[in-house]
Amino acid sequence: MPPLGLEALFVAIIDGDLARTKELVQRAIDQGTPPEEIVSRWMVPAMAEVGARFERQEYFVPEMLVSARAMQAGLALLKPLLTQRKVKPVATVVIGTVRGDLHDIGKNLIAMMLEGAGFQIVDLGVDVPAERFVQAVREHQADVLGLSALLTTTMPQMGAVIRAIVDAGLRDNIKVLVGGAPVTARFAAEVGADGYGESAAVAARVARKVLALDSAAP
Amino acid sequence: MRPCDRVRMTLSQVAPDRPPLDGAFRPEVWKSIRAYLGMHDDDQIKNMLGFDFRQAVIEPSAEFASTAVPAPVEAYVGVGSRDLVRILPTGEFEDDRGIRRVVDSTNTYFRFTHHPLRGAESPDAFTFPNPDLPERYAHISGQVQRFKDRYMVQVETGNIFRDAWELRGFEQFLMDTRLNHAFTTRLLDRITDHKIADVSRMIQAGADIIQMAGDIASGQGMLISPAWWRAEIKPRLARVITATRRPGVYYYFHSDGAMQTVIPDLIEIGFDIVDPLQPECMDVFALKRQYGAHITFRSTLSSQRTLPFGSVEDVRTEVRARIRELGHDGGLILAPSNAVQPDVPLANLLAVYDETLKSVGAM
Repeated sequence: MPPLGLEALFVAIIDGDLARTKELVQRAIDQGTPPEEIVSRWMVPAMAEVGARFERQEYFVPEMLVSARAMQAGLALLKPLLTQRKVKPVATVVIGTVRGDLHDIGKNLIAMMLEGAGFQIVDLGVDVPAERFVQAVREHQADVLGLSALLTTTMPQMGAVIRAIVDAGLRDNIKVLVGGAPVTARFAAEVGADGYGESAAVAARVARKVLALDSAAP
Repeated sequence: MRPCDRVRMTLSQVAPDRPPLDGAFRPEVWKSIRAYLGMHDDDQIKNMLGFDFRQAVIEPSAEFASTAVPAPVEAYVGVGSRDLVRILPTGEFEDDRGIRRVVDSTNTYFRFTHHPLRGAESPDAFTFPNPDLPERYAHISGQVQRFKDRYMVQVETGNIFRDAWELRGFEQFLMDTRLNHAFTTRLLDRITDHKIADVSRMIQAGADIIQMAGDIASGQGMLISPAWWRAEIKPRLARVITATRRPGVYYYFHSDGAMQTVIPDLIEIGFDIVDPLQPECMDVFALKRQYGAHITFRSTLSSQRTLPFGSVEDVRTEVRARIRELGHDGGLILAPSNAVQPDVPLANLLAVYDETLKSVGAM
């Protein structure tokens, strides 16, 4: 459970109540609550709870979408303040569905959950060629690259993207995560990825793990 | 045995000589099969593979067809509709419902770019294709004339959930289910009324099997809550079946993914066939024990593992296990799940048919 204070905001995000989320975020800002505290103590745990409910099959895609939408609206109010205070995101993630594949439901959910966990997301969309991933990783100095595929025929593209990242000399500075219906942990290992998530619910956990973000925690 | 009798026995949960066979292949796969067999008549190829079904499609209006061209890549333009589109100056392709798509960079698949009810205030802003135009069902009549009394003629249409998100946009419709109850129910009611008119006419034209397709699940579970599906979709599907069912007509439900939680509901409202039961995310043998007496399973073959990545012997072993465990008392139609992709080795694909044809008498 989060600390006492903005429980109503926590609940509003879980309920996917956009108007209430905006109202409560604005009130917290007006009352002088530090924006990074609003995000990390209240909003991120709310999206984590949404993810947990999704994992337990109490929440489904519609519930996740309306919560993410509320979260995004709240973050939009906070972003200028965070930038002003030079608050850094947890990490920057470049994400996209590989070339030849147009499926994006899973990829979009992952992006929402990672954004909800405090990551900065650069979403390249679908049918993304290897060179665009390379370009975006370089341009945004990304910490994580997320690759998605639904088709068995496009899975091998993930290997091609990873090779392009290696060839560009970027591999040592980035963690690569792969996912999608036919993707397995074994495939992830074979293709040279650092991690694999089997559903949107675990995305943030997997990303934090490969970045070793929690290893310093007591 | 006539293929249609084989299917009817199977659907009555009585074992025929072998499980009925069916399948859908990507155009690239069709090309390799034709080249490999040195045959050019797909109907002959289907006979050789042992297909017990023939597919018919819904046609757009003559007026739309007169300004349309075949879609530049073969793909589903509207579930079960002929691939005819209008090409817009933007390069998008528009079907007869006003849904727009573009082709991907590898020229293989479509991506949605526009949904006719996106941003609409009311679902009444959409006009459904007219079900009173006889040309809409002309292909069905043609296939029936050609194949009836030998094969089962099947026609695909949306399973209401899919119709709704195709008209509204996927994420928007899913959010509507949570935020805009009046819009959602009005849209679903309109789709259901149109579906009843449409399906009645498909059946009048002679269709034997009405395939209602659209994914409601992912590999991990349902996309939407089972409670919502039961409250909003199930009664409307029931309404379609009740209003249209005639003796000898069967209803088929397709959804990818782990959708087993709704199988008892499908049985309750009168579905006869469920497809494809992906073995990667469900125990098809346990499901057979639980529900096999009440509904026929179609496919159950692994399109994510065995077919693309297994050996020919792996495929044969999987087919034999299905026939033994799922087909011993009827209730099994064998077909690769979904449209077979070009990464499936031809030998693996052909083994599905060969092994099933070899099983005659073994059941």
